[in-house]
Amino acid sequence: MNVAATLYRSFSRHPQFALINLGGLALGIAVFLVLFLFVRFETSFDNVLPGADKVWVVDRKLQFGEAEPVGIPSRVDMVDLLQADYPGTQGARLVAADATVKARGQAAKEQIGLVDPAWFDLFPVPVFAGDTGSALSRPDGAVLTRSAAAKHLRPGDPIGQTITLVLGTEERVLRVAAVIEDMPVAMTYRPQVMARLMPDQETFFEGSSGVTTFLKFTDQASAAAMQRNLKGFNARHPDPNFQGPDNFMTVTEAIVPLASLHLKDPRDGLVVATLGALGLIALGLAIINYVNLATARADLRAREVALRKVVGASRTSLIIRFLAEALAAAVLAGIAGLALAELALPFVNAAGGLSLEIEYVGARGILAPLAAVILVTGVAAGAYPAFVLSRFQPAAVLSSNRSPGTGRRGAILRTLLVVIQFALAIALVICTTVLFAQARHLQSVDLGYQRDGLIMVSSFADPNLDPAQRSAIRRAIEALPGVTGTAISGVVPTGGSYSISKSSGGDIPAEIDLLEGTVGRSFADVYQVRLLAGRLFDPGRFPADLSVPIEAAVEDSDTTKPTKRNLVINRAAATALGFATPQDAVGKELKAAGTFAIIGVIEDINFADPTVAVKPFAYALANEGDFPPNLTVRHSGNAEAVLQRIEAVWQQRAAGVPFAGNSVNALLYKSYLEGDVQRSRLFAFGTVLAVIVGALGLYGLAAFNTARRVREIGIRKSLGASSGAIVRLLIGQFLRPVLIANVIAWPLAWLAMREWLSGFSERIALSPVYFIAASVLAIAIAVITVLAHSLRASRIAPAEALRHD
Amino acid sequence: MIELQAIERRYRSDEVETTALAGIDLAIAEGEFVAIMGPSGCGKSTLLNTLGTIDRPTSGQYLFGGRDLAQLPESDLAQFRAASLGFVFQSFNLIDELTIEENVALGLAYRKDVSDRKARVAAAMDRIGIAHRARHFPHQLSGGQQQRAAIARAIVGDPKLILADEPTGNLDTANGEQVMNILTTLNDSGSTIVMVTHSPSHADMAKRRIDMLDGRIVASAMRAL
Ligand SMILES: Nc1ncnc2c1ncn2[C@@H]1O[C@H](COP(=O)(O)OP(=O)(O)OP(=O)(O)O)[C@@H](O)[C@H]1O
Ligand SMILES: [Mg+2]
Repeated sequence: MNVAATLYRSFSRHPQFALINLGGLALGIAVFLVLFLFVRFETSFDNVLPGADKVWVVDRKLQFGEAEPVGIPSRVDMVDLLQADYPGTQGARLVAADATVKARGQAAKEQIGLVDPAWFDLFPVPVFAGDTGSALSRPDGAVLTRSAAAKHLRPGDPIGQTITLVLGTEERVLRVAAVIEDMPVAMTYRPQVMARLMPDQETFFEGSSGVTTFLKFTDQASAAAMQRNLKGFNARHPDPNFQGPDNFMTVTEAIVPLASLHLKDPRDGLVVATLGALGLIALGLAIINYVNLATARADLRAREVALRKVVGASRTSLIIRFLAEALAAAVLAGIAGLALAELALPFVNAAGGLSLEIEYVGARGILAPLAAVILVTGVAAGAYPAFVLSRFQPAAVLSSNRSPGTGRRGAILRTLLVVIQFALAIALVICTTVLFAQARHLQSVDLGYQRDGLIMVSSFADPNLDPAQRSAIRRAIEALPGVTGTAISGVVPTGGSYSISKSSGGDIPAEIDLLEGTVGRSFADVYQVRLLAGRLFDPGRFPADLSVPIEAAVEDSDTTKPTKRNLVINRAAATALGFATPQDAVGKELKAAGTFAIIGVIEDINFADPTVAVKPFAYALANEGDFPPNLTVRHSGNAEAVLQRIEAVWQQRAAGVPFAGNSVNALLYKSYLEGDVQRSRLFAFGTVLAVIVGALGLYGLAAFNTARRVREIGIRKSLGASSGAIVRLLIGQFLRPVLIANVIAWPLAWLAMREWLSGFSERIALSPVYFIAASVLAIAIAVITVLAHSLRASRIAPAEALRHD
Repeated sequence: MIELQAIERRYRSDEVETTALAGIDLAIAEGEFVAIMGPSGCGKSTLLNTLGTIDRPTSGQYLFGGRDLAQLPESDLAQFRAASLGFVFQSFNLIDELTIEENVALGLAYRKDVSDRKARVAAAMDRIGIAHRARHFPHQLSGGQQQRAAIARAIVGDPKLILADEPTGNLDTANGEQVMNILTTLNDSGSTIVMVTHSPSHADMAKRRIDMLDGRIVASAMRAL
């Protein structure tokens, strides 16, 4: 069968059609492939290494009263206890930390992991040099990834070289015992330098995350059994750390599959699902277009089909013929789509902060999914023309004067497909604008403090600096040009340390969960906090303003302090405590871990995730040195320049400690906004291409339809239609489906965006502007797409047009 | 009513130049029924299209009621066609997606000055005898019925001139006769008709016969009464 010949002929007869048709399909396939890679990357997170599906993570939660449980590090002896209870339990612990690595006379920050030797049984990363099985059997063994080895070690044989880890204030000299290949990017835990977890390093130290416990099971059933067994764990093994006198804390132990961690946040899951759907939509649009043009052309081919039947072709052979043609086109489009995806991937990676790759061979090769896409596309695109056309009665077709084709039904189907297509495109455009508007909103939302002109110097809290060094550095920074002030505080943007306690009593009836953080004297000035009622700290006049230290660690929060201290609370705390106005809270007494007096209420400061509502918070003033010394610098002018000057000061006074500092805006962007911005970009990428696919389809259809209607245009002109009337007719006919599409798109987008925005506490309103703008855009695109054809068609001389068939 | 003077129409393609009309002088008075005959390719359709202003002559003068149409811009010609002309084609040229009624109404669609469109459409269909097919689509009708619908469309606007290019060319004898009878009746009630035909008997039903050859009029004769 010479399908290729037919395809080639239709290509050379209507090169423009064929190009648009196949190009649109290729574009749709490319978008689908890229988003498929993205979804697979995200959903296969932590599922890359062999046996990864059998690894589970201990999920330990601490709950204060009725408050939302919070995740906490696991017990240091978790693996031992479980192995005692259930012999044969396989497990390993990890303490991940951002620590300084010293080697070759240089110091650099690195993600390190203190692990049990069994770690490599659970995470069998391919070995490059040495032996991971025995590497950590010696306490001074170290395992590096190849990248880390290249960064820290001398060239040549890595085995036996020494490095020094700075853990808190302790230094550990290690000997490299193995080098592993770089771990897949799609892993939640990717320490670059690994050493044995020693007993004295199990508990929290500066820069560490605490212990995470991993368990490996032989099958799902034994994991489920463990899941059940853990219910009674805390009764069997009470944890002395959580046996406070008032005992309102509940600790629960559970295990979750490691692979489920990555998309744990429902918003992340939603994003991945949405982008996956977007990929399907883009592909769907491309297929719709293809079908649309194929059915349109099928009408023209009715005569060909009838003739073939007359000369004896069977229905089956015709169906096969049409399907084969569509499949051949899909193969071409698939190859072009793959090429496009390869070309686009670097840009997508840059825009989305991703590291997607197309693999050709192996289990994750692209060829199998591509073949599936081609098959689905080919069959979907070929089915309609195949089955409808092959049903034509040859007599009816041949006796009829005009091409009978699928007639009205075909026209309705084509219109319907255009409607669906534009509805999706408009909905996507609305969603993209809302996404971007929300991302922009989050970048400019009021956080309760002045975030512009703030720099955080996080290395200032490094435990290897002594107080004298710190004050020298601080004085030097304050003397820098452009610097207008510095503050030390326990709580800072993106985090810091604070404690949680149950607050009640005094003359306040409500019992709430109150976060407490400690700040230094110049905090309010440097952050430019806004006082709502009462006063700010003034220890010179009010000695009770100055608190004894509140430790960050939870276990200290039940230590009752003898003195009555003064606190400043935020608006959320005042509201949660039941005060009608901030003023009402001033002067009231508060009982938590101690007795406090509220001296002032400030506007909510959002140091945590700006997408999440601010929790009730209390600020205590303490002497600097009594709490973690996080340094914030207020400056004027360009942040980069000031940052450079600060770093220069640092190098003079603390060269042994790696400098770390950044503007608050950059830190906020990195920790909370970058993800949303990158995803919005991915979404926009998908949307723009989906709209292009849609426009291409419309263009092809317009070209086809106007070509088909040349004779009609001639007739209308002979009846006195002017060129203007013809243009209006043609454009109007294309606009009607676009207008109907709005009716479908608006509620769709509204529902989707309401759902999406509900995930943010700080969110924009769903203004009608987004909807109207998207519709105007769609109409503009539709008009521009069909205008050229319509104008050209309207100018044909009527006598010419009438000779056309 | 109509005066053609030295009308020429040449088609120029890449290499060859075809002369479809080589100097036509022709006058047609109101109320005439003219049949144009001649061998295939002699320029009959071109002449008819020129009369219908859907083709522009390369040179020459076309006066219609004293107005020189050859000088008018395209938009004025469109208005002229809408107001003054009715076309009947060999291949009917109904629009497939529209019903017969809608097709007939198209004859009024591009005129701004008419009222009572519905009534006029109904009257035209009645007159031609296809009112019972109003809601059908063209492909559901026989050739004769389609051609009658086309005639109804041509006359719905009371044109000054009806141009018919082989209106019976695609029809069998009986249907052809029916169409000719309709045209004769229209002419009797005052319509001016110019018709191209290959059938001598149909030509004999016209009041005047023009013979063409190679783009020229070689004979023009009034029917003997
Ligand atoms: N668009 C065109 N381009 C080139 N030549 C043309 C064009 N239209 C008509 N001709 C030529 O002009 C001449 C006259 O054509 P016309 O259609 O008027 O003939 P006709 O007398 O109507 O023939 P028939 O009886 O077959 O309909 C023919 O030689 C034809 O080939
Ligand atoms: Mg002709």
